Amino acid sequence: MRLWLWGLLLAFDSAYGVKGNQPIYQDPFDLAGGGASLTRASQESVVFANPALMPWGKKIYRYVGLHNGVRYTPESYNQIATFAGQEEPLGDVVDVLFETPIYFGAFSVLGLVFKNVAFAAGANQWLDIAGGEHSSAVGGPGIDVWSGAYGFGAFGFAGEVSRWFSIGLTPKYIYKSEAQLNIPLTDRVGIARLQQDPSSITDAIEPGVGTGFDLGMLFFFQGRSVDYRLALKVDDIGDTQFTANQEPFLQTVSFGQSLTFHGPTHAIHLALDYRDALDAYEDKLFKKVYAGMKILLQEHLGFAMGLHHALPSFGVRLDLFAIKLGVTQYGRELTNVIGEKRRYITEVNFAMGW
Amino acid sequence: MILILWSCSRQNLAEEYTENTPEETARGYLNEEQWEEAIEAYRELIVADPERYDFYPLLATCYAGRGGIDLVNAVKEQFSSDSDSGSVSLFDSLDSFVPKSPTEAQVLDVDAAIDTLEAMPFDHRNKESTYTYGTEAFGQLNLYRASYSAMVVNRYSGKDDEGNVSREDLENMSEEEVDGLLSQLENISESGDEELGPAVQEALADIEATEGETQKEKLINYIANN
Repeated sequence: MRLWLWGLLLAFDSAYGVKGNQPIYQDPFDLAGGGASLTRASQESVVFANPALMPWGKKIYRYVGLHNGVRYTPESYNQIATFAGQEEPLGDVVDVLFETPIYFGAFSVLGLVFKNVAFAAGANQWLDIAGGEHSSAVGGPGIDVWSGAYGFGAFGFAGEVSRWFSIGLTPKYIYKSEAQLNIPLTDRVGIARLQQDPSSITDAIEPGVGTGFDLGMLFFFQGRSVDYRLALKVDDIGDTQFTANQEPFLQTVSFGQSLTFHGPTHAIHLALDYRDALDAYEDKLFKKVYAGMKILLQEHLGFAMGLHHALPSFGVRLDLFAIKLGVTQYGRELTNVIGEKRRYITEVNFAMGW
Repeated sequence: MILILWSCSRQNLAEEYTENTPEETARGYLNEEQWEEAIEAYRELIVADPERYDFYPLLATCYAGRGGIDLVNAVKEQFSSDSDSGSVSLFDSLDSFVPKSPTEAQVLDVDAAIDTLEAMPFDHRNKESTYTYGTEAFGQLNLYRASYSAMVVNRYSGKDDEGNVSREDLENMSEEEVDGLLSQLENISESGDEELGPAVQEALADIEATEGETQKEKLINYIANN
């Protein structure tokens, strides 16, 4: 077997920062709006964004549907096309990975949303493979394989406590496998050791399951043409622990506020989220602030733009009654160092629902 | 229009306002191969906390980088192999990542890389090490030892008009350099390195068996004959 195939399973590091302070699932249109979803979220993603958003509005029944999407960086698409065109696609993989990282993923979520209760179940995953001339632990050549894979089922319960205040709770059951692997390409001793005893790695990447709770609150001050919202959310109350060797999701406290200018059928929503205010994940400021704007026209067409990790994001969503289509592009900094692992991700999504 | 301009910028708006930690800064210099700055940054980190042994291999990498060692070429050499095992001996591929005409400063840099790794406690740099960088530091140290030996030879192994190694140039090697070269090879041989060890032991045995009154003569004859 080629040495690098063994290497793919080599060094393992803590996967503490893979998810970070963001929900395990976000609607692509919300990401287009900079990921600022504490005060407005789309369809089934409200369960994770902030359950306290649900009670507002007159309709009891809101949405049922299946939402699917793929995500990738355009460079990855070219890379895969290059590999596919080669007789020996693996032969130059290391060389190519040093030049351009590969990032792709997908999600599929079934959602059911009512005024006071909602349910979302599905899967969401991404994989990032990047070669670095100095990415190993000692600064030698290496390949980083980072991934997040989540299966989940979550209920959202919410109610209006007063004319301007709502509160919601999301109990959630999560199956997750997160990994941050570094493959030091010149560490032959480590590779040989792994060949003899791969159990240390298989134990480390074994998926885990966990149950957790999110609590959301929303202050909603409605005017004739302008609304103001202030949100407070506690994610993963008391930390969400997982079986196997998966790291816990840490408790985070987040704040969001927004202004919505609206007419009978149009709305412009300006939002700003500040996540993980108590610094559980020790992220830098640019990974805590999410800001953006959503423009909704006739309830059938939406545009969004914003700043996600201080990088531009934008997207469009078309709602054709039972069919919804959307495209989003946003920037993501995978590490806490600006530019170290930056990805510009495209998400194409499709939903069938009412 | 705004969207188009925005998306084209692809700049992080927080870059100007975000500070990196000293550790992140040092790693940034390393990744960018700004060796002078990286060496300075890692030396400062080690002075500030001498027991952060994970910094030592990184400093060694910076010295080796400034010394002209390019491990990416070593990797490419290995992976370009058509053999099913996918392995070309690192010892055999030294020519692919060691400078062919190194300066004295480059040789000294690789020597500094070796000294930096040897300053780590043994349990942080041996093949049984449980530290995340331990086994890699072990391989790194022997790789630099082999590289140092090759670079010393390369410094003096000019070719004559017929393409043969010039004995005259090799004679310019000092006794101290010969001792240093052989000492590094012996260290590899004794380290238990299963990758480099056998090839180095074979080379040492061949040198010992070569004609010559002194170690220097034996080495020169060995190089000239190979």
